[in-house]
Amino acid sequence: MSTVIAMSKRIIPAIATRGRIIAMLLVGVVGIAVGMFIRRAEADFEPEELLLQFLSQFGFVIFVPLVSLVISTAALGTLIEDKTLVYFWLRPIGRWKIALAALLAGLFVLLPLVLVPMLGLSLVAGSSSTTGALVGALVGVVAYTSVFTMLGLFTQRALAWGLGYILVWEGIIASFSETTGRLSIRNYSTGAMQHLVDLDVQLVENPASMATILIVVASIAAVCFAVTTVRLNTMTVE
Amino acid sequence: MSDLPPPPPPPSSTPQPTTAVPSSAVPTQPDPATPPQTRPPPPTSERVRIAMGAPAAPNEVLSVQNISKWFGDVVAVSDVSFSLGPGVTSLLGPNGAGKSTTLRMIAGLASPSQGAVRVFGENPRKNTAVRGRIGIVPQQESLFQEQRALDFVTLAGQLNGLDNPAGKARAMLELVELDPDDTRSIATYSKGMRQRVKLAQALVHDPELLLLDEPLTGLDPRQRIQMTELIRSLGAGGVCVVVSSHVLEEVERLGSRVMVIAQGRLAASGDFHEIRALMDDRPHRIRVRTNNPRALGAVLLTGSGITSLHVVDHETVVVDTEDADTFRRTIAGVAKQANVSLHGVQPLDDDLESVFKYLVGR
Repeated sequence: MSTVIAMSKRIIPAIATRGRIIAMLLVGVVGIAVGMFIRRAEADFEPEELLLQFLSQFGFVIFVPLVSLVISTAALGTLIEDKTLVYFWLRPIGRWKIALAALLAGLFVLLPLVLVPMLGLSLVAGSSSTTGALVGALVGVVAYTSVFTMLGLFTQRALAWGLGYILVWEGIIASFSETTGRLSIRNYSTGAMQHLVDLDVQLVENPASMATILIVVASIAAVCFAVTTVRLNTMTVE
Repeated sequence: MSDLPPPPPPPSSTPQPTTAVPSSAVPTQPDPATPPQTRPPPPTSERVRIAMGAPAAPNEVLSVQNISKWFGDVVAVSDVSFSLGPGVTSLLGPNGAGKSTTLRMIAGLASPSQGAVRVFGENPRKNTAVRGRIGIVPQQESLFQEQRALDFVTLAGQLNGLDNPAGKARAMLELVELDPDDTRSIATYSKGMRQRVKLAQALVHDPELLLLDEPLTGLDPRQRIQMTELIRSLGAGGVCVVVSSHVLEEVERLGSRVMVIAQGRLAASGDFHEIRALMDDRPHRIRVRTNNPRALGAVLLTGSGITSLHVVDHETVVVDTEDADTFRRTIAGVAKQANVSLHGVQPLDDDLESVFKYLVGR
């Protein structure tokens, strides 16, 4: 495990660049600012439901996937781009350790970067949504990090492909029907929040049970991890 | 410094015969300059996790069997075969000849489109343990920029399972004449310093196969000498060192056996001096500038060694000769005999590219 942590420590500075961190924090700040605006503007009309809808839409459709995309695709993508992957790859260690190190590095950077703004936004929306917002964000971060870390290994245009996936699949196709919704990560992160919100609010239709959500997210993470490891085993390293 | 193997023995007086190599031939090359020696084994703790694969033949470290590599329609390496034991071997060839691709296939970083690579009898792409016996200095400059050199080399040791990676990293940095206590990040280092950091990380785990892709690039003359001595010492100490270079003089200083790669093919192999002679013995084309090319040409044709002669204009004659040295020694006398002025003598095909093309075309 020490080798995994050692590699993670090297990956973290490569992905947590000042520019990326500031840009992603700004997105979170914008979300909180909009939430505060809604609360003030709608102060006379029971703002909780509207704010929860905003928290759900902004948090799980835009903020969590976007931040996860920017950070996670860089975890292995940066190593390929600057040709430093060779210094991990040509060592007598299993490739799965490289995949795990990238995943852990992504999570290490993403968790505070996502959870803190989501906490702020949930406090603006009302304290009853805090646990749901954080658990939902956690579910989303784990799933998206797995997917986008893998994506960063397959293409140098991972950001563009990932953005297309977020906008087209998660944003449009997933909302067509309940069936396509089941194939989107946002459905599970929003569903997790739905289960933990005190108010009687419909954030997602027929959310999967909490156990199903955890199983699905674990499955996504496991499959992506396996594919990443296989890819590391078979790829050409510059 | 205690990690330095003993200095190399003097070059053997009976170098291996040199041959231009048909692409399908398999030259096995015992090191003429450095008889195989047994390196002192590394501490058991450093090797304990490495399962040793049985080598295909005694002392054979590396076996390359008919490997080819193509990228789309471009053939980078074509049907190259050789096997190597301990000692220094240089891959000599012009830029784009396929040296780096060959090294990367040996390291397992890329798989051959055709053929097979075996390191200690194993496939380096699939055998995790074998990777612990390989060290590589890649051509690219990229390193973990924000790190200190000591941290970078320590990480390499850690990933190779060393017990005391920091201690070994310090020793390796001192070996390549870098300060282990330097607090600056690698991003501030010069090209030569980065090159030495790369070598330190490649040596930190006492590899038995060391692959160096243009390792002298960016070094100043003193550093080149020091690095050359280090490489020679490693080879003499039993490490199989494969060095790629496009500079003939570098290869000469390494005192190594040479494999000439050009246009993706193994064009020749053997002792450096034999390769040098092979290159010098080829036909040469020389441009001579004079005030009377016709008169000079007429006298030149009465002598021997001139295969063709072409008067280009009123002050230039181009000569093809099989003995360039004799031509250079005698041209002044010939000009005097022809009663003409000599303005200049310039070889037209002395660049390595021409040499390699000649070797490939043989």
